[in-house]
Amino acid sequence: MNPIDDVNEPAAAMPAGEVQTLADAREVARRLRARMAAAVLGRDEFIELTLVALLADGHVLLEDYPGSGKTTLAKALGNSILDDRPEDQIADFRRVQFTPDLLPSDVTGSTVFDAATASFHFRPGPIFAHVVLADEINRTSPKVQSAMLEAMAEKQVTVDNVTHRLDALFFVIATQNPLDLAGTYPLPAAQLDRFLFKLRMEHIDRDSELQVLASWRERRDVDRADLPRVTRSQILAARRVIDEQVNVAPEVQECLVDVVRGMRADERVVQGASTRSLVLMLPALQARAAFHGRDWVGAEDIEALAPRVFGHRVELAPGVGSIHEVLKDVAREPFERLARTTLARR
Amino acid sequence: MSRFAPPATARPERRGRWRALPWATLGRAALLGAAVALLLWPLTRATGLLAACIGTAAGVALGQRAAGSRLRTPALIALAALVALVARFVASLATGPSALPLALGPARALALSEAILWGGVAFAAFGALRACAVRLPALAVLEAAVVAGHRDGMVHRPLALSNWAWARGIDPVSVLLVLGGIAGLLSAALLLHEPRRRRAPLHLAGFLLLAAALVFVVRVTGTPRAQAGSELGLQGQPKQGWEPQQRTGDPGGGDGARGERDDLPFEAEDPQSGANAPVAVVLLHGDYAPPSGAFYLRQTAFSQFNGRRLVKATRDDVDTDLLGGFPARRESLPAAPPLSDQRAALRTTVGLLADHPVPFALDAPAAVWPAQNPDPRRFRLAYGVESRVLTLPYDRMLGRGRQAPTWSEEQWRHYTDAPSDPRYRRLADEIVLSRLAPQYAHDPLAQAIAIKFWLDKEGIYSRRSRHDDDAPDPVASFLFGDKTGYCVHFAHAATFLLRSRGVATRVAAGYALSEADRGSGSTLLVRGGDAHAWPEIYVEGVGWVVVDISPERSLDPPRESPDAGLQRMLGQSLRETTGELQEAGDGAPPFTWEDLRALLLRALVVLLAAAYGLKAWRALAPRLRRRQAWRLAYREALDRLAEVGLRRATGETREGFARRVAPLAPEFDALTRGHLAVALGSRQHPEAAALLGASDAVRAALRSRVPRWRRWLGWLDPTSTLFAR
Repeated sequence: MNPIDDVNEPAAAMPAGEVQTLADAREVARRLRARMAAAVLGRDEFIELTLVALLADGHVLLEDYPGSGKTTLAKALGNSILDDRPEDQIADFRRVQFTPDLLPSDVTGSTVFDAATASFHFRPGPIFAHVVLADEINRTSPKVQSAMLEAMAEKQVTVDNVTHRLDALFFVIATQNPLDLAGTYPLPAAQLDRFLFKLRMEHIDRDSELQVLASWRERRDVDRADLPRVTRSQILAARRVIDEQVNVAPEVQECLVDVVRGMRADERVVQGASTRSLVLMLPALQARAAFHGRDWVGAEDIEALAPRVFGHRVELAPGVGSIHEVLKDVAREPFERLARTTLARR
Repeated sequence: MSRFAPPATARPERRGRWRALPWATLGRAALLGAAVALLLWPLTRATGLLAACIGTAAGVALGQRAAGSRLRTPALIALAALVALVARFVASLATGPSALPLALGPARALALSEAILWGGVAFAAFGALRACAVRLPALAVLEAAVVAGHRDGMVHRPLALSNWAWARGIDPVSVLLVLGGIAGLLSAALLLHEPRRRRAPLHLAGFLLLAAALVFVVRVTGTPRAQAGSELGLQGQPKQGWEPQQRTGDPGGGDGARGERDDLPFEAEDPQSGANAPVAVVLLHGDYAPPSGAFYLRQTAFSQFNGRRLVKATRDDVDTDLLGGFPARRESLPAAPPLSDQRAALRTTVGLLADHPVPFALDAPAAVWPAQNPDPRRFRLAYGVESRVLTLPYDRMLGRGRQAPTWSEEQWRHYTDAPSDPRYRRLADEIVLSRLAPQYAHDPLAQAIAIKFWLDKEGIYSRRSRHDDDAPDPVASFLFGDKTGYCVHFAHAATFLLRSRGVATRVAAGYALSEADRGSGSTLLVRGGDAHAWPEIYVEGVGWVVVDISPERSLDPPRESPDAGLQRMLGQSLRETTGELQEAGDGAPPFTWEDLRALLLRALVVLLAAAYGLKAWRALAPRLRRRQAWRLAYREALDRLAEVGLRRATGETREGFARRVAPLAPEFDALTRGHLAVALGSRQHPEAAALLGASDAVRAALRSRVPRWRRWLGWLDPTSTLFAR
């Protein structure tokens, strides 16, 4: 059940800007995936999850060590998106390195005085991009963090009482170092809730690492022009198509709700997942199903995404190892119920 | 569930679940506590039982908790063993040479010791058992076994319950099996209630199978019978054939039957074992009050003195009133005394519950005949006897001659041969002369009664006698020693004393039942503990008369009186089928093992037919109902996979199961996706033909990759559809 079976499969004919069917949406994902996989080796699962988040209109928090390829990943994503509206001054990709002395205006942009016209006008900050890499987001002050997170939640920034809308395709990949915590401002749970996924990246396997060494030069120098890019509007259309055409059966919704309720009732969980997380999860499930070529959401989507979605939203009791063991127990009955309903006559 | 990869241990999950079900633990504790109480009933007293109950309950509760801890299982078991050892040690302290018993007094110290011992042992055992059962579900069977277990396979325990059942005419075996079944079912239900093990049908089927197996075993080997005490060697293999006079010159006097002794044991064996177990039921077909106040059921007699003691007669012309073996047809004894004003005819029916080498009867048997065995599962044998019972009061037997006129000199010597030890004669003279008026000094009965009264007064009854069986004269060791012994000693002593004064005397053995034991009915319940030996003297014109010794002092506890309900019930069952005195109002046919077996067999056949029918239908259905192919073809593939042992685990997603099966049958994945697409609301429904094709492909894959025997076994397995979920 490889999601997009062959990376090097020739691109299917897709008229530019015309994403109408689920197959088209899948083709969008396939192209993005092919380009990212060419840039970052051994990270297939993260590429998939990042794309699911992109198609579900969510944001991703990566927790990993320096030099593990997160910037490359974000950059590859930004480069894969062809801006079909160059006039709006929105960049494909921006990277913001968060430091303690950063100010909110450094992120959002500020009003500057133009001597020529003798007037103030807004100069957009790095946040006005399709893909934003917010590096080491826990290093900056809460003030900057909240400005960033407001932008993520509302898709708009307010500077000098003037609200500026961000691009519809506004996708944030934030990172934080899980170990080096001195002098940081850890994100509170409420802000973590803005991220659809929190992904913990481990080191890639030996073969992939060898491959990285063998091919790093050509990947640095050569832009893979042979791999087609997708346009901003295609991604937006894909989002719409997925939302309209992937069915989430009532049984699946029941299953999802039961898993979350079970998790809240479990004594190993101090604080359970919010209702908002359920709402956020639906598009992610749909995106994943579409990614795998289905127009229906199944238990495996819940199984695959639940740890990623709930991992940073649920507070576990002291001594409980991980969300996995909790989910393993609480999901057993809802999954069994879901599996049983499918065999019933209708 | 591969995505929710379980890291490290999977232990803690058990904690939360079980706290939600305290009543399950509670029920289990109560059930096991009761079972332990029943188990220990014969071993300890009330305090010990109570402590064991509490200990069990506490052990179950704590074991439940301990299972969730991080302690390793061997450590848990070792800990439990340590607790048990400590309990034993502390218990021994309470009774040992310490200040504690002195302070408490012996009774309380004993109770305390029992409580500590049994409470501690039960606590440790059941704590460990429960903890192991939680960790390894297979061990939970042990708990069920404890519930179903009975000490020594004694199905009739506890007596309080079986007596209650007897009294109401119900076979206690059924009652106890039903109770055991309920307890077993309860524990099985508790087992089923364990989270994660929702395989109720499987467990239930397994339990039913076990129950059926038990029924068959019981049918084949029979329910365990209580072993009646083999006192005085009265029981043993039955002798067939009527051979009253067949006593040849064999010096041992043996009749050849195993288990039958030629003499009586002077060393008592285990005095209490089986004393209460019924060995026979005697039905009196007439009213009779014996003048001696007791029913003496004579089985054999010992009249020949062999230089040391009395053994069975080897002569043919003595003891002709004894029954030689079980009759095949009605037989008469020519030696029986005639009917007169002192002898009345009384018919009795005897149903033997334990094997006996020869029949026993009231004195003096005149005819004996085989009776139809009313219930072969209960009675070994039944026979009828007509006895000429003595009705003459003792005082009217005085003043009669001491010798039968028909006896020869040799017969006469046979019955008066005594040890040459002069002490017997001296003692007998002393007793007789000091107690009897001169005109009675040569009257056999008067002398016998004088000696009886003397022995009654001087002797001490004890079943724990220590008179050496191999001593040159074991009777002298008793009579001129501590005068402490039991019926065999007293009977021999009286016989030798009387013989030394020339009274024809012998020792008879059989069962003696007090007239009070008869209660209000006409049934005598003979128990193992009723075995008795008594002296009989010959009174001219009357026959053998019992003069039994009953010592005034006894070192043994008094005997329990027989259970009236059991007596009535057994008598009833013996009476019903001998066709006499039939009582109305008992028309319901008894439920037999055969009925149960037939019922089970029929149920099994029906179940099997249903299971195979279901299998066949599920294999055919997808082709017959193509519109439902998305469901039926998938189900059929599930069936095929279940047959070769591939089953979706509880809580496993269908997709996960397909991934698991993929190495064996990759086509199953497409089938699963097709199935789920329809079930979960896809817009594009797969073609029925494609689904059926995928289902065929799964079958083909299994055919090529699974060994044939495995597939055939699965095909034969009627339960496979239960696992296709």
